[in-house]
Amino acid sequence: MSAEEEQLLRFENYYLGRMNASERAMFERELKANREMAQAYAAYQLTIRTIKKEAFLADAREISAEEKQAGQHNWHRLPVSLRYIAGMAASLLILLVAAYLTGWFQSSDHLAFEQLYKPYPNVMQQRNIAQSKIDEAFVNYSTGNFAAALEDFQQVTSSNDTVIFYSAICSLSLGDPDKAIALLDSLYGVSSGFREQVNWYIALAYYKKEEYTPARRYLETIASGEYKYEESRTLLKSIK
Amino acid sequence: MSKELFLAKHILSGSRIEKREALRFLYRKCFPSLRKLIGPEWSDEAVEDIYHEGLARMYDSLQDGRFRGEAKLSTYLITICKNLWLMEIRSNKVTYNSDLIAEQTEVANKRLDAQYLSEVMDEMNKECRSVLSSFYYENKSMQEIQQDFGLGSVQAAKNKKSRCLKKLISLFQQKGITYDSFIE
Repeated sequence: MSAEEEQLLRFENYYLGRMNASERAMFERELKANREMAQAYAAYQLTIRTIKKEAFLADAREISAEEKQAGQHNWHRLPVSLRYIAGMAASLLILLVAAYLTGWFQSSDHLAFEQLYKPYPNVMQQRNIAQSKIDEAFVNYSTGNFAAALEDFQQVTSSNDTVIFYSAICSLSLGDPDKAIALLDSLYGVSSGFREQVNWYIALAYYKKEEYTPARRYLETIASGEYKYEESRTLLKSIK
Repeated sequence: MSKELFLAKHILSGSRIEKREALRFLYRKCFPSLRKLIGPEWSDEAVEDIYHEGLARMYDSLQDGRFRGEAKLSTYLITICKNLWLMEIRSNKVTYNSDLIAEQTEVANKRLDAQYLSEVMDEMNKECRSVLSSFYYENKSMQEIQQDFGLGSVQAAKNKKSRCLKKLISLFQQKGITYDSFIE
């Protein structure tokens, strides 16, 4: 066995964890002391990582293509008549939802909550990687998974106005205006980055509960130029 | 126990079947969320490119031990993809911010590295690549490799693997690719 082959075998044994503790310690000492050996080991490591990463990405591309095809395939596997019926049903559902959202089915002049409500966007700067519960919560929040986001926000130990505000929006998105009100109430009148937004969302939460008097009271506090001023005037007209 | 807990382990040291199962799980869990997050104005192909780039970076983190398992792997992957997408948006805007330009250049260089490495790998013959991938990625034994490739003995399989590895190391060295230029 040549010296080069012997060295490669040692690299392999170290990399694959086939050395005992004392062999590992000796190998690491050598690496620190011998620059040439360290460079050779770096080249070995780079090669192994590249082999693994290339194979991993090839598998990933294959899986993506398979999943994409399976998604399309399931639809095309339906008989034509079923596809026709499913298409009709989907169109009808869209029409019904559109009709509901535009207020066709409303008996009063009140605007539908769904017309007015949009979850507040995620304006928080995220780190490169989700390393904490709060990062995880914001990822779930951004993807519309409010139940998971709320659960994550509740596990954040250092609760601040941001956590409380976004927890309230999650609750409201999940159809729980009482909880949203309780959370937003704790921020009301407090100097925070969400002072203007709190007025709008607390009003919406009362509106959702059909409690128009407190909803009106909060809407009236939204001053010109503040968050959702125009919308608050439209909603006030609708309530009056 | 949650399936998420096994994902990192399967991806790093599982069999190929386990790795593919993990990839399928991640795709089903993350791709629809990513598609929804990025919005309809981006094509499926563009979202897939971001997803695969995100997977590549997630894999690097797993290999380096930078993923500490404090968040779910699927959440970790979506965050990486989201940040790649934001970088993509920023790189399409004209800006005179020198920090941003430096960041964009860095991103472009990293992409070049990954692409370049892939091209260098293509210079090896297919059988050599398969042998190396079977051993290092699929974690197959030398005996399985001997059988899969119809080699005369386990020793012959070891020799072949060793020759292919040396060839690839020297290819990288010839191209001046170093470990420092590869890692993030």
